[in-house]
Amino acid sequence: MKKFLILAVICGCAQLAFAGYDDDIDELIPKLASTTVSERYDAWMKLQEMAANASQPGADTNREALATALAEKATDEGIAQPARMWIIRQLEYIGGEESVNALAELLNSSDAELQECARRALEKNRASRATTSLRAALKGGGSPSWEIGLMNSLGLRHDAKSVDPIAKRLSKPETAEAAARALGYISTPEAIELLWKNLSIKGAADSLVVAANERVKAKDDAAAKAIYEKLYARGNPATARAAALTGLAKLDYAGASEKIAESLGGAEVRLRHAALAAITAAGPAGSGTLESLWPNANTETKTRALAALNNLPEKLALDACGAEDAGLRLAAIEALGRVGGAASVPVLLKLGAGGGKEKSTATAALARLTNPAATQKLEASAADGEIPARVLAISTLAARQHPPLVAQLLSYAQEPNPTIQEAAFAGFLRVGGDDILPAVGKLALANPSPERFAALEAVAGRVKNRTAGAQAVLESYHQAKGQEAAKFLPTLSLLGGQEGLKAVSDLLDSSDAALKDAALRALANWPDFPAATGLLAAARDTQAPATQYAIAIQGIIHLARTCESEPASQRAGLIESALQIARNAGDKKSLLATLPELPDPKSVAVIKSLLTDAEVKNEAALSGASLAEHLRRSNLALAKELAQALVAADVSEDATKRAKKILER
Amino acid sequence: MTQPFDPVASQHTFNAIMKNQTSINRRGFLKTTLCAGAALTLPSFIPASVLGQNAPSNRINIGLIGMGLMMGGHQQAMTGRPDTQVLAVCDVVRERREKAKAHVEAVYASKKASGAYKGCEAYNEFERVMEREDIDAVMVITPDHWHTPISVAAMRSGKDVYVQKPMTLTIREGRIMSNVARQYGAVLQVGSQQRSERAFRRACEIVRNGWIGKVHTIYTQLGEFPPPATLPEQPIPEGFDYDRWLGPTPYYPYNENRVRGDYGGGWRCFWDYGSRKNGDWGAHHFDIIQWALGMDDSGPVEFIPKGYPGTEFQTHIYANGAKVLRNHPTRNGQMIQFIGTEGEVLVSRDDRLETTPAELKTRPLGAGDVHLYESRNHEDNWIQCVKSRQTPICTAEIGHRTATICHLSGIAERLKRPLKWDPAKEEILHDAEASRWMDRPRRAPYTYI
Repeated sequence: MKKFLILAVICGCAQLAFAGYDDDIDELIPKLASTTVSERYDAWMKLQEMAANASQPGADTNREALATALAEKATDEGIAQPARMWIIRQLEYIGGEESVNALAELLNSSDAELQECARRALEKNRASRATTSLRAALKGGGSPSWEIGLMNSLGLRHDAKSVDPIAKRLSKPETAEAAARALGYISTPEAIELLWKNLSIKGAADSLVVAANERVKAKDDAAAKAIYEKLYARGNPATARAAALTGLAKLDYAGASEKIAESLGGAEVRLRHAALAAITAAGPAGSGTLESLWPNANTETKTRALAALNNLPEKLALDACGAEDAGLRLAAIEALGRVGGAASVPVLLKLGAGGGKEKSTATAALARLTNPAATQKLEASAADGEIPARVLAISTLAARQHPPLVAQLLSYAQEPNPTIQEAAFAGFLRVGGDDILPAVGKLALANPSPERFAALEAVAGRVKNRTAGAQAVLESYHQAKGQEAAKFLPTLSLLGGQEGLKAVSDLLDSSDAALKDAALRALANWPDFPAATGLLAAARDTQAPATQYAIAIQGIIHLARTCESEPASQRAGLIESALQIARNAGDKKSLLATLPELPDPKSVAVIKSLLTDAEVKNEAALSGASLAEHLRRSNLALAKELAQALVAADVSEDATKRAKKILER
Repeated sequence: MTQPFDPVASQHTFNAIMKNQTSINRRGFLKTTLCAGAALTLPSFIPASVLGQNAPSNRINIGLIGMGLMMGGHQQAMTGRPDTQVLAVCDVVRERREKAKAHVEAVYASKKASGAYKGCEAYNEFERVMEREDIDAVMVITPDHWHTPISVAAMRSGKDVYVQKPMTLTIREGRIMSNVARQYGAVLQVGSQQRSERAFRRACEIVRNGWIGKVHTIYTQLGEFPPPATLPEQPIPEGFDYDRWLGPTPYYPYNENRVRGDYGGGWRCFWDYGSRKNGDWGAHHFDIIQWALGMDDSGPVEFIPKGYPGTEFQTHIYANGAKVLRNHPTRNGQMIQFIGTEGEVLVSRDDRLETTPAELKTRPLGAGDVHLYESRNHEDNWIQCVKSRQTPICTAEIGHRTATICHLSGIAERLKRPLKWDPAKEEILHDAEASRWMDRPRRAPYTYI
């Protein structure tokens, strides 16, 4: 009794669901074919959503109820074709056993589009009767296109019973290729036999590859291997032979190694590619194949293997580095960059430090060596050995910014050999920071060559603690005399700080013109805002040469742009002061160009005041437009105020257009 | 650890290979040696200086397929290179293919002393390109629904392939593409060219080396397309093979907005031809996220559509818990933002890269660090690999795994429910109806791949 009640409730729910879907569908049907495109789209989406909801996992009753209702409508000839088409599309997504009869009926429809939609829906239907109906339709025949579609559906459904009707289509040119492909997917012994018999058909060989792959999926390796073996035979299309070779290698690499070796050394390009791909895919086993075939391989085979493979044993590439053939040697050297270890380092260093044709390839290979053992060997080679090899090892490690090199470089920089010293200072261009800055400063003081000061600047550019760095450099600076002191100024300008600023500012009063010039240049690159005072003073000095004035103006622009820790109002104020002392329109324009980067009321005020300046009003307007666009995100009211002023001034067509755009928002 | 790719070194090797071949054209050489049974003997030594670095025997003969919006840059690159020769163009729009043919021939004519050149054919059917044995490689720059049929046909006819992103229309297509590329030994490059941009590689190296700690959240900006629409029927323009344009997709009456190539809409809006923004920009940014997380042969395990209860942004989740949120705002409008337990990486096109801490941006890679494959130019990487047979930076398997994310995100969006995914078995879990969407039945006669 209880069971009966539960069953009654379930049936009742299903009926209710069915009834509910029926009403909804009835309401949607006229709209599904509406000539008003937006109405049709909404209806389509609603039906699609109903199908998606009904297909939720664990709600098969709903799915079945909706699919049953949709199937009934799909065959209703009283419903407009576009609506039926969309209904069948939903059955493609959710239809099951309950939809098969309706969809099978539609396979005989006189409307080719509905017929085709039904075929696609049946292709995806899990019910076995779907296959039966598709097979029956194929037996009934039709246009080549129709038969191609049916054969494809049956092939994908692996329908062994369709082999005979599909076989009949092998003899028709329009359907032969599709028939072959379907047989490939079915891959029964009969289907495979038919493919062998019809190997001349376009695509038949590829269909045999498909069949073999299907056999592998079905864990029938013996059948797959038999197909691959037969396909690999000479006379078959090269691409299919290549695919067969890869298939064989995947099934049994050791068993296929002879064929791989043969293909690798052969003339057929696709087989060579497949052999290389098989060796790569095999990993260590692939390396073994190469070792065994290497002694008898010809130059071209070796060159190709060296070019393509990443699992090539290092020793093979090393051996080939001594080959007579120049091309093979280059390929070997390049391969060492990919597969090389410690043993490759001395060889590459020797070639890279030499003057031969191999130099650039060897240097590139060294740069690519990332194997840890190779890196250790490079470290050792940098410390000891022939000078040219040591130099190359140092520069290789420096180029990859190898951190442990830093301490070693200090030691190399103090070696007696000038070539090693030079390599060490070149290394500092790439590595080193806080820890070594004082030492490099002292080395520069001891021998103030351009290379040493370039190294000092590079290291200073990487320090994190600028205050400590500045103090260290100032120690050396204070010990330097005259023009040698001036060489420290660019480094001080990278580090900034109050003490450094004082040292540089003191030099601005020097009677030595060269020292004074160097100090002003350092000030113009200063990273801290307090440099502004000295720069403004220099720019104001009407007695100073024009060059100093120009350097000061550039320094002011640099400060305004880069001192981001300073409020925008301060930086805009600096620009305003500079504008007042600017000597020509060109400088004013340069100063104006910085204001869009300083979103502040002060910038707005400066720009507005210059909108009537005949010399720079155009640039002021363009800067104003950029500033307003920048301000729009942070201060819309101010942006609009500026835009309003630009529109009112109307001095530049572009600026006015951009300002209006802001006002329209 | 992936080895970096060095195009200069690769060129050396290629020259070495070519130096060891005869001076007749590439295919001709193969046929000659095969017929003569001279497989194991070396071809005569022709120094590179005799042939010239870009002698005809060294050139890769190219077929361009799909001459629309996206082909412009590719066409220019392929006709501009000294080591490639465009022999064929193919499009279903007559005017477009004829114009492309004329343009290709004009470019080559301008390089000839005679000022004349004929030698580029124009085809409506891609099958004609596949029949050309003298064509070594093709670029497939069609709408998404044609990517797989054409690429698979190309690989089966022995050609290498550059295919636009996303690589496929369905998940099953991706598995087929990857398997065919592997089995036929083809060099296939997917056009997710952000992998060849410095900033993206660097961002991925920072993440892969754990410098921002454990990555738990990733924001990415894909934008939105307008909704797809039903469209009124219009007459099919003269010279347009509309049936072939639709190809394997369901039939709809012609409307120019359905077929238009348009970054902001056109065919890209329709589910029938792709996965909308998930397939369009997702194929770029999801691809970079996969690379950064070291997931090139795997993928996420869950996909949650936008609007699902508790989910403000479309999300996918990796097995380690890392979440990718689509269209969640990023700092400074960057395209991708990786957030880890110890820092962040933000990256966009035009070499925009930001890191927290800032020093990560310039921190050198140590010998023991992950060095990712380095390519500086996506097309050049493909051509160099076609020559050397090395693996390109964005293989079919990588393209398939990325496209799978695009497609699963789209399926979850259409079904309005989360999906669980097993990336090892490549199966949607516990949802039989959603599993049907892993492939789409194809319209006859464009059915088989």
